[in-house]
Amino acid sequence: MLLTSVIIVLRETLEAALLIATLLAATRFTRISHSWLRMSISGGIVGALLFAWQLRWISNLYDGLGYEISNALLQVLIYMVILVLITLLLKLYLGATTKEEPLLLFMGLALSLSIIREGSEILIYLSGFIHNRETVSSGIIGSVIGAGVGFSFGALFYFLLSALQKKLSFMIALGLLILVGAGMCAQASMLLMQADFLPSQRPLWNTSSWIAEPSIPGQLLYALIGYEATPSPLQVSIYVGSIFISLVVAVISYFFYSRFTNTKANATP
Amino acid sequence: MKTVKTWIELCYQRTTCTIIFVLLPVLAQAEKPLIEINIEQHLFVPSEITIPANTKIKLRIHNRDTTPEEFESWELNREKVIMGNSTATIFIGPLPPGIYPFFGEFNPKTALGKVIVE
Repeated sequence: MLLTSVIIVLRETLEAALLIATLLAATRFTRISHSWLRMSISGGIVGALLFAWQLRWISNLYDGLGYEISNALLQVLIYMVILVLITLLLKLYLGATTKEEPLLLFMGLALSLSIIREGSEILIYLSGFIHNRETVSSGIIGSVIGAGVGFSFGALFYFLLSALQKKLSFMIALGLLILVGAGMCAQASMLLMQADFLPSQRPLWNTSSWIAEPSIPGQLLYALIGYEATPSPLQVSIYVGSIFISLVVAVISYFFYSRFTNTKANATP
Repeated sequence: MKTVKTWIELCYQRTTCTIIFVLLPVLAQAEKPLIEINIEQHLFVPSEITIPANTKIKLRIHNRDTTPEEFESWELNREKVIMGNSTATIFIGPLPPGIYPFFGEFNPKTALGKVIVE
């Protein structure tokens, strides 16, 4: 019971913790306060409560495939928010704007959506043993340990990125956001295969003997870049396609906003 | 006249394509073999199922417990939360022959099973 709850809660908190670390690393060049974290975490928890509470109803939609559809939708939504974030981050970084509110809003949105997805699973798990007196204490202790370990990984990752130069940590964080987004799309496609909306295919390769998915490195990579040991050709194409779209968005934003910086630089003297 | 003929041919080809790409998956969905598994006292009953290779299967999992469970398999790339006293549908396959373990993530010590593909 103790170990099970540690593992489940660790797995689910890791993604949110690493997302927080990445977003904080990406905004090191700004002077924004961290109040957006409090807001979006509490917003995410409220959303997770609602989602967990209504999951029975959601699951029964579309002939019992509502679980897959709702989760895939959440993941695609996170990808779209990440695309907006890439643009906003570059806009602020290149000095084309000084307004930070839109960035805060979309960072909060990405985090809240991620907490809704992962948090609801923890809540559903907790709801299973909360009435059982024998298991409730070990379950809660395990959950607290799991959450603690998950957030420690996030903190460690943030401090690793903070040790780098601001420009480098911005670039790495931007690259990671692109990979997180691609991971979301690949996961969404897997759910749609599970629901038989997309065709299932034989895996393109099998790397489980190198990095097994249930292992700690496997789970870290899964949370960070959407690692999958046996992806199908369609999943790989969706992953690569999402990276491509993000890169196009990043390059266009870069050239568009650096033009602003240049005109400003020319106008000042 | 020639253009009309080519146009008709094109239409015909398109219709055939529509039949192949739109209707066939619908027909295929109707024909998928159904296998049912129960979750009772945090156990999968039956815990072993055998399915033919290279065939898509519709799994219906009935959670007879009052507590939720999460069907999870690293080998099958499947995960789905199943609330207490409810039924979930999961499609698996087409798969090459082999043994694909699955487990209940919320009760991983007892809820264990495998799909044997022959």
